[in-house]
Amino acid sequence: MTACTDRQIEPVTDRTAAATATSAPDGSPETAASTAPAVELRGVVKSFGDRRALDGLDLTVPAGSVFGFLGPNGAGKTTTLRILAGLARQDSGTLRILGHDPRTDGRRVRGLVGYLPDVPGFPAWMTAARFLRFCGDLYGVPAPVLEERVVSLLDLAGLEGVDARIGAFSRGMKQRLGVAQALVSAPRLLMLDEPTSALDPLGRRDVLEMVAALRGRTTVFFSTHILADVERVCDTVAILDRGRVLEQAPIGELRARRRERHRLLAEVDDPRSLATAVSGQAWADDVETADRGVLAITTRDLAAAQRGVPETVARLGLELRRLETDEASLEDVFVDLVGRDGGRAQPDDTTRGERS
Amino acid sequence: MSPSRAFTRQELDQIVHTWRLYVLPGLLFFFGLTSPVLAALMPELAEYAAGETPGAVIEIPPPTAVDAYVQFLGNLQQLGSLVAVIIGAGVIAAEVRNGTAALILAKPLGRTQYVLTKTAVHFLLTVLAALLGTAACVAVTALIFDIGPLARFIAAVGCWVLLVAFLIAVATLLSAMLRSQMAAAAAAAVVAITVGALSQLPAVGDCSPAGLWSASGAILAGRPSPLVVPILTTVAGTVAALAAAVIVFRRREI
Repeated sequence: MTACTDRQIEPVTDRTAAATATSAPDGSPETAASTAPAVELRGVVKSFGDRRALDGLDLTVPAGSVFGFLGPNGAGKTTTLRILAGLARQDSGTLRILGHDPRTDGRRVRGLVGYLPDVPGFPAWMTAARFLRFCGDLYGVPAPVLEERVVSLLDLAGLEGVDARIGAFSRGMKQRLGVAQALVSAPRLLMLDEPTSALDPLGRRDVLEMVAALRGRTTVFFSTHILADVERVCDTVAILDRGRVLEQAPIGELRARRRERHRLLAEVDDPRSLATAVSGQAWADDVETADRGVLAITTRDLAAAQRGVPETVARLGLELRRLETDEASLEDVFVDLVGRDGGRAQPDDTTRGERS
Repeated sequence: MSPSRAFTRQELDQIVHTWRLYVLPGLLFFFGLTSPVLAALMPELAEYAAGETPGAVIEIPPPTAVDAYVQFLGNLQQLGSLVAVIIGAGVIAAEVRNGTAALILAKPLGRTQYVLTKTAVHFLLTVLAALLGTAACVAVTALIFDIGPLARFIAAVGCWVLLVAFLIAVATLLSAMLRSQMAAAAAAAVVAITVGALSQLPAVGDCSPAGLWSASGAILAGRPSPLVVPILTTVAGTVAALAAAVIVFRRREI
């Protein structure tokens, strides 16, 4: 996949406006619906047998955001996306997509949304170009626009000049084609379920750059369990666990909340002695040994800790090699909310039949 | 281009580009070529079989074009029906299972259109295969024997086409219901075999689609056979099975 540029996605995003303008019930441009949140879920419940995959899920995805839907395996990400895509139904609760109710307006909603499932399936006999044309035809994209867009998306997906049948594609190639087909209608809402999970580092970087380039042009709602992906491209994140949203906020705000508790990293020649001495200090909330013997000291009083650590080091006659504050990461927030097991006890989110 | 048209074109293209183009048309074409030959060789085969069994005497009248057509019709009803429903049972279940259906149905194509288009295209392929086989059978029969009762033969094949429409609709229903392609195919095969068996019971056959099975043989032989009720029940059964398939699939989670 080539690096994404504005030029490459221009035809797609240009088309977004046109698609929007022609998608209102009376053929007029969308008005009220266009100002609504891209996705609104209220009290959505979904069970598979005795297991509750979504447990009163409330979620609001602001229009125009790049929204990360983060959670451990089994948290309910795929189930949520499948319900939004019209492939599954909630047991109770309401949802609106771009201001529309998918139950009464399903076809129109699907016309405004691009969707990539977690494990996309393709007709093995088709070529990538032919499949993109087919997808564009399903959306009713006019032929001249579609031809231009297919060329652009093949380039974006790094599949230009690939004449092999999709059946011969690697998983990464299929994933990139999956992203491309989700963009073929220039959707107002792009829903991607674990889009980078099957990609090598370069492919992952390219998909993330592509997603980042769509910021402000369309709403991107993508699920992932990869924290780094969310930190890299998302402006807003919802953290999901056991079918409930634990936290939803702009990433900066989440980090700021975490900053109420600061972390100092101290590297000394004898970390065990320092840990013992620091543990008894009033300003030290928590002390733990991080990588390579570096002490991670959590504190609510940063100034006191910044004074106290060097004093303690001097008193013990230790050699202070490094002392720095550690910026709170999304991982910290995630671990705080979900716990250190990261929901590993839950069944795999992608298990078919009883997906969560 | 409308979603329905795009999907229909893709389904037709899929047949051309996959094994489906060859299996049913190939099978029925093969039956068309070989049925008259087998009919012509039947006396020799019977004589050979009798020679293997001491004391056995089998007398077979000289074969005619009707025998060739009967042979073809028998193959059509048994193996042709079976292959048509087994393929039909896979058209939806396979795509749901491999994830293609999810990708397509997340787009503005209705599930009703999806089910009906898939059924219609498969039925069209079956009809074309039957035409191919019938044409081959008539041509070879004319070469070996004479053209024979062509109108009755075509009417008999027509009865089979109507019956297979019902069987394909039932296969579609099973394909829409069941997650496993194999289970759907097995269930569809059982339905086809059951219909064939019921045709042997006049009390049931005369008032059900199974009546078309026996009616096609009777038409070819020039015997009278009840047709109205079997045709009506077949049409009603086909519509009911398709409606059920649509309802089931619209409610199904993909």
